[in-house]
Amino acid sequence: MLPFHIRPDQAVQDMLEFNKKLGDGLKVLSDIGEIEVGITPKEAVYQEDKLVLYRYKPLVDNPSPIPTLVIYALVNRPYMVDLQANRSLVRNLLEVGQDVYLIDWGYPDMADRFLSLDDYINGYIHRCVKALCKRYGIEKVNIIGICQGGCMSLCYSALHPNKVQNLVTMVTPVDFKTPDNLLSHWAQKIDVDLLVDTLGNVPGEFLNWLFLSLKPLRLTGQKYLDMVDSLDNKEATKNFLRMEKWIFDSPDQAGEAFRQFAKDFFQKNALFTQKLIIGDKKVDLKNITMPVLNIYATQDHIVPPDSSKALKQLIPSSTDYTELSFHGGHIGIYVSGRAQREIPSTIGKWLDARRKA
Amino acid sequence: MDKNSSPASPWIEALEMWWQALAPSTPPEHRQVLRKLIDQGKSYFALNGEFLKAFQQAPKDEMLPEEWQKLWENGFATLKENFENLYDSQKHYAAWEAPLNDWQKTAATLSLLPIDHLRDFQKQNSQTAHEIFGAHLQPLLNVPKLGYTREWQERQQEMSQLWVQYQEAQQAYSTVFSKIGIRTINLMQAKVLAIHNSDNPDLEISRLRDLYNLWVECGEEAYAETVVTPEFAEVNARLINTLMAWKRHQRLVVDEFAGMMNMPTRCELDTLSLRMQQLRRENKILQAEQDGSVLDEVRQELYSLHDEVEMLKHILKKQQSSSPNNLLARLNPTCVNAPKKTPKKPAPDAETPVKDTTKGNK
Repeated sequence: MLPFHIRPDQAVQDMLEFNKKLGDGLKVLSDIGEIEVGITPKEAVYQEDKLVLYRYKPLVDNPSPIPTLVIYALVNRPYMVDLQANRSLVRNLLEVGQDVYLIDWGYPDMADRFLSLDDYINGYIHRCVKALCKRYGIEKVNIIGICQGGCMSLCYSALHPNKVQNLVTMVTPVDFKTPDNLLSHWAQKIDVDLLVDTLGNVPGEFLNWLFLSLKPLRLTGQKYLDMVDSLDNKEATKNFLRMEKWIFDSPDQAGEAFRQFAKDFFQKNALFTQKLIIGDKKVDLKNITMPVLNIYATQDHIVPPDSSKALKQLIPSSTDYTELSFHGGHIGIYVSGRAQREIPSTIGKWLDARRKA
Repeated sequence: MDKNSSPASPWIEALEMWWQALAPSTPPEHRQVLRKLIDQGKSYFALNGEFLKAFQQAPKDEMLPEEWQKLWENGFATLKENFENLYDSQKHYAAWEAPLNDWQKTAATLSLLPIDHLRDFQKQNSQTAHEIFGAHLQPLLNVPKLGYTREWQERQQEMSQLWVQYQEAQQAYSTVFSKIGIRTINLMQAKVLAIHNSDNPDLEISRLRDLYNLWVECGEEAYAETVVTPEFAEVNARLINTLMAWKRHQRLVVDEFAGMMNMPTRCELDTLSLRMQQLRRENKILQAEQDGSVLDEVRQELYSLHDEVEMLKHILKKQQSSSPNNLLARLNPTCVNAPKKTPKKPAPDAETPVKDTTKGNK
């Protein structure tokens, strides 16, 4: 069989077709207007420095009496969990009766350069949790930690186990040295001290470059070409632009926090080896006695599944450990149609079954 | 047609002209995305052009196997030859320009000086940075520094050396990508052969887009093979580390100028920021102590521990009743029979008033 059979007239036709789609798409793009993200109604309930703690307006009459605090990564913006009406982890959690709060870290600038992981975990997160406990007259809250936010949630739960009722970790790296962890492989030889001492805060562009370098041809080339095919569809174009907005909306990273995360988590794998110190306290994951739901994505190219699954062996004190495997990728776990159906309802049921006001 | 010109060149030029004419009328918020679409369109056309040039003689059904084999071998050899030529002249195959471009743009945002000018420098000079350094710069930089400005001259010399180190690192990085490009063509050749040997007509490549997708698939495979190696981690880190070393030196020089003009330096501002952050931490601790929240936390921890002890006692008691000879019970009978006493927990405070702070966070 002939593998290639591209006739010259067909080749010309293909190129003409591409140009036509691009031309038609220009009109759609001109009319599309501003791209909105983070659509579920919310109110600010606590603020400190650039951090804002939001409460999403409940969608049921009697939401869960225990609030659920979503802790997102410092990398990228947290509106990924509430991208649009039909792609919103938050909205779906509200629909299943949860009372959802989210920490928005804001955009650190040079004044925040010396914020450390201790400031984030024992400072910001702890004060948000205390604000919620005070608001509800309770001692513990539920926490959903996402990606790097999951690492911080694990540290928080180990350092303050009496403040966490139930812990959900989503696509959270725990063992940073699994053989398929490409980011970690690259990070080993980087002089992190030189990087932070030179730049102060680490620019979002630098992290974007690292993430796009994981699959450069697909992420910087093919996806745009594929998009040209859908440019005539206004909704598809809007979805694409929303995602583009999120990908390139990358806050700078506070220098000291980045230094510690890159060195202790990526280079020394200290969370996994149980040698992590936050502030002046050792993070002992054996202190995690509350129920834990660990959700990972089987096709995650940023946080390999084995990296997340390593959690199980590190928290023997939690007698109620559940693992949920989602067939999808690191982003698909929030935005894919299947994720909307499966993830929030599972979290909701799991939390409700462990409700203890 | 000119031997070196690609059949796709007029298409690329037309696309760029079209964009130049339309760009001013496009919405500014979407201009960047459109630019990416145009750039990818140009890469797509360039790739197609290279393939069409390499396989000018179209395969025919009635070809003998030997003729077919020769046609493909020649075609892929042409592709590789072109690729190697491109590599020699410091240019890269269009489809691989994206990650390198991204690094250039990223590096530009990290530097005090625009880095893109270095790229032009590379394009204009076929010599490697090492050759340029060895032939022209090194002898000059080796001249002993004398006089009142000796230290300043040494600093300049060091900056030049750091720049050359970064250029070398960038070149090593580019070389890796060139090798990935060649490996991509090899993989593509193997896949084309596999299609030829297959009986599945669905695999036949009849559209340019299918060809592009196959190229991407092979490119990602070749890339994935390379980037997991320790050598790549080394080259990648060297690119970042040498840029940082160069930039740090720039900062020191800028600080020196700022100091001379009696302006605050970056170093001084960092010291102030650090002290401020330490003060803020101490302040938060004092505040927590003052409003009693630290005491509350200790109290709550005590209650939790108390609950745990009660639970353990309960377990022990159950064990004791099921086995009367329980050793612990015999050793310390008061422990398991102690009366249960739970301390009174404080009532939760009233809800805190909050203000709306949704605006002005960026």
